[in-house]
Amino acid sequence: MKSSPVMLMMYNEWRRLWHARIPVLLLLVLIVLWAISAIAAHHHWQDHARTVTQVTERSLHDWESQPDRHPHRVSHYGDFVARPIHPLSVIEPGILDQSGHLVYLEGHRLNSANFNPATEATSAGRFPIITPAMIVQWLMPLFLIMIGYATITGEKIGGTLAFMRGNGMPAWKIAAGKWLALFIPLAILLLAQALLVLFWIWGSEQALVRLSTMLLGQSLYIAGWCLLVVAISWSNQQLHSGLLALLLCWVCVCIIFPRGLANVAQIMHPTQPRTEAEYHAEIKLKAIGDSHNPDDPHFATFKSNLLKAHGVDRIEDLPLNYNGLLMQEGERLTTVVYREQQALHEQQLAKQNATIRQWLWLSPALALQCLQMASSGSDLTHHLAFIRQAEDRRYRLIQYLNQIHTHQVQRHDDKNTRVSADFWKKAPRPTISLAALDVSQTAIITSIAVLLAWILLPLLLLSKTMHRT
Amino acid sequence: MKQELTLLLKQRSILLLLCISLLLTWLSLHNGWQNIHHIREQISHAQLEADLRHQSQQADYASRAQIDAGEIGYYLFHNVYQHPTEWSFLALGNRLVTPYVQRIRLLGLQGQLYDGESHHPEYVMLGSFDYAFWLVFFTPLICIALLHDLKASEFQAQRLVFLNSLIANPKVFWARRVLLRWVLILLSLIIPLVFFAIAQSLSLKPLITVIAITVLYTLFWVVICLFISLRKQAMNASLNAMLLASIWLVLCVALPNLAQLWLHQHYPIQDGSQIALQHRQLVHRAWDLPKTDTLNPFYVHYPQWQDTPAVTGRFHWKWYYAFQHMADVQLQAQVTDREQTLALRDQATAKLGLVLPSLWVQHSLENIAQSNVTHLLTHRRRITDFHTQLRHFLYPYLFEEKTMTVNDLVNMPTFENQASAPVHP
Repeated sequence: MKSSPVMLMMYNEWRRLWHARIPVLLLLVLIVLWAISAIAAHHHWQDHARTVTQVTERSLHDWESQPDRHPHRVSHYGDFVARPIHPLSVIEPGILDQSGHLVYLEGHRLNSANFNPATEATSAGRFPIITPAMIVQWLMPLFLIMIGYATITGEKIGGTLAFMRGNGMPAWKIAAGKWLALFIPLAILLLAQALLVLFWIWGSEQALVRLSTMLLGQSLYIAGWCLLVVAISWSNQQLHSGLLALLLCWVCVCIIFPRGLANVAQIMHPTQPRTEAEYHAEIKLKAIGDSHNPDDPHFATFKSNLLKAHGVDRIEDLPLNYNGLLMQEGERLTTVVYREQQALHEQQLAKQNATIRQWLWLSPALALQCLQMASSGSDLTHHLAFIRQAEDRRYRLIQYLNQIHTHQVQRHDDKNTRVSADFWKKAPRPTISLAALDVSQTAIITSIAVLLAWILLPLLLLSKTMHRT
Repeated sequence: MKQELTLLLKQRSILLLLCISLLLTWLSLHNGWQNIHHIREQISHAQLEADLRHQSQQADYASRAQIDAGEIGYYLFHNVYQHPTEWSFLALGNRLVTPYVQRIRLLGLQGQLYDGESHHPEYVMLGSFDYAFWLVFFTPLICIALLHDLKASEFQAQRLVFLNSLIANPKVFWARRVLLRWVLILLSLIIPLVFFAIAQSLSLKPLITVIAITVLYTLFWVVICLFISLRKQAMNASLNAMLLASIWLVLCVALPNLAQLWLHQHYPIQDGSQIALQHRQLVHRAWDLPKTDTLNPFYVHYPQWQDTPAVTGRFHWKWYYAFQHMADVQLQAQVTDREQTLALRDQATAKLGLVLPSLWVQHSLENIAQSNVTHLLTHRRRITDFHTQLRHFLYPYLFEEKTMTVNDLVNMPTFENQASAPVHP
């Protein structure tokens, strides 16, 4: 059977790479590095996973072993929730180290997500961590450049390119053969990684969707780089200048632009410090009403409405505990303010994200990172979804306790009452689950668009230079 | 030397590279400065707001005949600030994540100390574009770009044999070439640095240290490049470039990573969440215990209050603050243990830096910038001291039930004033 010219080109290129020895060696090094990073990432992931289970178990245990207490005591005792992590974050841990993985849920307080290992990192922590995602994002292109920078320039210098063209071989077939020769081995690596990971994440939430999104992004990214290598290799007359041009591209795309963009976004739209937000929330709360103040207009209306509804004149005559009702109303008000505050904060973050999105086309590496973080559930939107879930749980839990305060505690002996511990066991503590992939939809779509654009760009360059030779 | 310079600068790509280096050095300094400037602005803004709040509170308290010291402890928040230092813009380090304004009240400290800051975590993860990053990551690449093809480029231009026959002393010839390139690289780093230092009128001593670090680090890379590009068989420029890029990858990415992995493995640390969980348990358990279970151990620490009136009622502030403090005391061993491990990690990082230049530079610059984990620990210790001062200020009013008036509040310690008078409990 006669192979097509494209296939022949590919086989010949593989033969050349095989005999050059160095490319094969580089591929082996890449695999070894991948293995090291996978072990390291797994170790890192296990730490997190252990913390999450420990916190969840301990929090449940502590919660259920509470003695008889006053419900308001319990609402200040509060509840701890840990952020669930997806097994895919072995590939891309994303903001796991930076975002804080523990939230303390408490009555009328909005606490921050605490305890991120990044805060306590030593200088060694300032170096970017190698994860399998990093390998795809940084090292695969770098090794690809080293393997393939000579792919067409070499043929040019050896005169074989002119020979092939003279024999009527269309330029696109040469380019396609070379591209396939570079892309297929890396694509096989990506597929192998995906298969291995599939075993690992089998049965987790949205395993297939997440993994295939990630694989799609990675394949597009690597395909784009292979094209770029072919295109630049074609446009250069000297081996050396081609290599330097490619390395320069790599440095800009993989390192300078992502960090630079992040910094620009932070400086253009700085976030408000947490403490300031807390003070502002308190000022707002004071403006709405002070439940301790008997003359406060908001709570005076609340009281008179309540008395009217029950047809009584004094709060002592109410069939319910007025203190509990006050707590419920107070919680409702504070929650509105805290949620407003949180929305404001999210707006600030969204502004930063918008700035980044505007310039995302500069760096396919950053686009791939966004995509990988989104699909492994370790990006900002997943984190914010977690914060919202936690806040929802907090509100339901606290209002449940306030209900108990209203119905189970007599007002005349309010502060000395202890309510049976059975009530805590029945409290609503909805499990916190990882948000669905849809929350990061915008990030995924933008990233894929950028990655596609980065396939078109080298194609344009290639078609221009191909016509010249 | 002069001919060498003209020869070098005639190559447009090299001129371009040096200009880029100059520009990006300036950019990295400027960016670091912007970040620090933002922090300073936020701190002074917070101070201003704190002053306003303080005034209105004073007016509020002045209208009362007597102030409840317990309420002061509970409702009054005190700002604590982590001020950047003069040279912090060099390396942002931990400052990117740690809160620069925090608020503390008299409740248990371990429940307040670890509050997070509302940064954009994705960008914190991407890291900062500061001078440390620029120096550690990029100057090696510039060295590689300028020095990888010393012999190979001459060989490719078919001048090498000719050159070898012409020059009397090849060592001097190559040394001159290399020296020139090194000096140009250095200038592209140091000129922006010096200009920046003059423009912002910064102190001299750190500047000299930074320059020395820069000189040593670039020298290290120049020497590595020489080894590769002046080898006998160094005729293939591309091979040299690949070799050097791999060395860069190992020294600047792979080894620091392994170093961190080793650190975490070798100095395991208890997750902070465990402290928080225990702290809550300790604080809230006290409500269900007899008051003496809290107060007796507390009086062991503070015997001066043990003869004060016993708590008989359902609630008394002195019992409340006693159990808040006792929760901290009970966790003290674990907290100290964590801090010691963190300090050990930092020491180990410094030691690793002795064999790993990239790590050494990062660590040294962070020490100048005071944005390392040790400085975070110092800051936490300052907060702890301040918290202790606050407690000691309020305890007499709580335990001896001394009446408190608005005039007493003037003597209340503030975080800004306590720096001069550290407490040693």
